[in-house]
Parts: sequence; C-alpha cells; structure tokens
Amino acid sequence: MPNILYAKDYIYAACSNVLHIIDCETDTVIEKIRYNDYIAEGEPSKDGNNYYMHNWHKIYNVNTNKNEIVDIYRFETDTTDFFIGDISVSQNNQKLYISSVITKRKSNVPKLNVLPPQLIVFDIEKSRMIKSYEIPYNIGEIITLRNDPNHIILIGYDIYKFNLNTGEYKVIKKLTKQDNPREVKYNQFPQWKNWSPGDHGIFNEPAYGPKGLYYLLINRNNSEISMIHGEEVYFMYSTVIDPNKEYIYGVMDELVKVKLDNGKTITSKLIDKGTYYSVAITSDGEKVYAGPGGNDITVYDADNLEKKSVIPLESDGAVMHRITK
Amino acid sequence: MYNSIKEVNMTSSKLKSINKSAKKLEEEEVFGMSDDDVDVVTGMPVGCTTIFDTGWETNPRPTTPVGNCMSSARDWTSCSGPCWWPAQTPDGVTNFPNFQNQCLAVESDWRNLNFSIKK
Repeated sequence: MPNILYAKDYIYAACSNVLHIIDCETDTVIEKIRYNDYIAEGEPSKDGNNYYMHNWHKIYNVNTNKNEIVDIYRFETDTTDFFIGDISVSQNNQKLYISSVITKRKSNVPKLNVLPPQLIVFDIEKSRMIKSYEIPYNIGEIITLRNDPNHIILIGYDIYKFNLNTGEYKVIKKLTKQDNPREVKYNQFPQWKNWSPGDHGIFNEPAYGPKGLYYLLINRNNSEISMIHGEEVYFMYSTVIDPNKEYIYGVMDELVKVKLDNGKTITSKLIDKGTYYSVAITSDGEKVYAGPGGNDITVYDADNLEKKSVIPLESDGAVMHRITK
Repeated sequence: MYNSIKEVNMTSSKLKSINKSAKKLEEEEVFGMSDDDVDVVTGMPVGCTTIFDTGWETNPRPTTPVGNCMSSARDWTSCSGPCWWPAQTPDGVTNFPNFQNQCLAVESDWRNLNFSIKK
C-alpha cells in the first residue's frame, strides 16, 4: 500500500519564553520550544521549513521540521545597540531583510551616535550581513514581492517601494506624510503579517481614516495598492484573507468576517477571552484561529464564527502564524 | 467655545529663555513630531506609538478596564516594548529585557511582578 503524504496545518504561537506548536487537526499544543525572551514578531520562510522570530535585539531561527532552534542571530556588541523593527524572509528563503536602528557609542565619549535607520540584508547560510541601506524612519513591516527579487515594500509612515540593487526608494502610497495637510491621512499599525494559505499574494491590513475603517490591500504579485472602505467600523489589530480571496477576517476585541470585494460585514463575534492580536486561517478555509494576546488562542468556525474551542498557552504572546507542512 | 479663545502665536511671542535648557529649544535642537519636514524620532527608534495614534483600543465588555486608553492585562506584556504604555509597563527594550520571567501570563501572575521594587 503506497504511503500517502498530505499537508497539515500547524500554528506556531511565539509567546514569552515558549514557542507553542499547535496541531490544527486536534487543536492541541503538541510541542513546546523554550528560550528566555519576549518575542515581538515572527515570519515563516516561504517554503515553511523555518520560522524566524525576533525580540528587539536578536533573531531566532527555528527549524520547523525538527522543531528546534537551530541558530540565534545577535547583532549587538559592547559599543553597538541594535534594535529590530521587523524582519522578512526573501522569496528564495536565502536572505533576511531587517529593519533596524543602530546606536553606536564610544567608550571614552559620553555621546550616543544614532545612525539613520538601516535596512540590513542578511545572508542566512553565511550567517552575516551582506548589505545595508538607509531607509525612512519607523519601518514596521517589510513585505517581499513574489515575482520581483529586486524590490521590497516597506511600510511605516507611508508605503515605499525599495530597490535592493540601488538602495533607492519611492513612496507608492501616502498614509500620514501628506504634502498637503488637508489631504486625508490614514492611521495604520504596521506590525502583524498574517499570511494566507497557499499565498495568493494579497496582503491586507486595517487602516483608519476620517470616514472610518479601510482595508488596505497590497498585491505582492504586482505591488499595486488599493483600499476598500469598510461598511462598519471595527477596531482591528490585524487581518487575514481566506485562501479563496472571498473574505477578510479581522481581530482585536471582536472577530469580524468581511466580504473582500465590497467591505460589507458578514458577521462579528465579541471575543470573550479578551484582546487578541493575530488571526490565522486553515488551508481548507474552515477554521479561524484568533490570538494570542494573553495566554490563549480561540478557534472559530470560519463560516459562522461560532466558537469551537480555546487552546490554553503557557505564557502571554503577540504572534502566531500558520505553517503548512 | 474655542472660537472665543484668542489664539496665541507662540513662535512670535515675546517669551525669553531663562536657562540653558530653554535656550536649546530656541536653537532648534529639539523638534516636535508634527514638523513634517524634519524626520526626528523623539522617543523610541521604532514602534507603534511613533506611527500610530494611541487610544484606539476599546473594551466592549462590561468588565474592567472599561473605555479607551486603558492598558489591560491582555496587552500589558506586548506594550513593554517601544509601545503604548511606557510609563505603566517595564521597559523591555533596554532596562528590563527579561521581565517576562517574573510573570509569564500577566492575568494570573501579575502579583509576581516586581520590576520596579526589588524584593
């Protein structure tokens, strides 16, 4: 009888001191990886074989096949402070792009030299920085393009398209730094990157303007940006699009299901456990995972948002990603 | 109501600095974050507070904390970075990098937290 291999979904929830690995079939924690750190953000490699998670100063490389930390990338020295804003894995899984702020000090001079923010290109195999570029302030998200290895998208005060060959960048969507102060500004929080199963290339985040909630869509296939006006205003930390590109699921104090093409609310549920940061959806589009915020994740039926179960975690966290393997 | 208040143009006012710190303000060594043409990060190098207007978090439940602009246990740990509640939470970036060891789940372990008062 031939062996049948099929992909399974797992949730990697990076919390304080513990990375929880959850089997999406049983909705139970099947493994825990321990470290001594608070984790600010994470991102799976595009092939799902590694999970990179970072605190404010260093990056952990987790092999998702062995489920163990295989490397820790530290950048600080006795005279250099290194602050990480975000990381992103290149499309070929060979490099990390790191948004950073570097502060240098001389031991005999009581002054700090804060360099302009840097984008670091880090070679994972060689475990060293290979390039650095000056970038705008407060880049909280780096997004790779699926068919263009020469450019990446940076999200901070505005949205920029960055050229990895020349170091030049241009604004492709104004959010807050409008030239005319009367122009509409959008309040947006670039922090969580909740990837859709199968990676259809559409990345979504909530944004807020004077007329309410907008869904900011970044097409990673052609770097086009569009906005959909939400029918109702919900406060959301992050969103995820289902694999069929029909619905957006957003989360904060409520879990909300929204039609992707017109922003109409399908249904919403108050999260009785409290505030959640991240949201993920299974590859079959049937279950939605919301959390963590505190030390739990709640599982919902993606169709009607009925609560199915609560997965207790060992510690508080902010980050969760689905990895299919 | 505000129309009746006479606006004062601070930049052309006759205020005079009386010490060195105030003189620095006149010399434009300190910039406000609203100065669009000056990219100066005044507080933290990267973080949600510098990008995002605070106070949008709500609590729709009939339990405490009720209302906006309240740090709650659920987001207490995550706000210890370059984030919303720098006065209410330990500074996890520089001064208390491993404070999470004292209370891994704040909602239940908050009594263990002593980042400011050594036991």
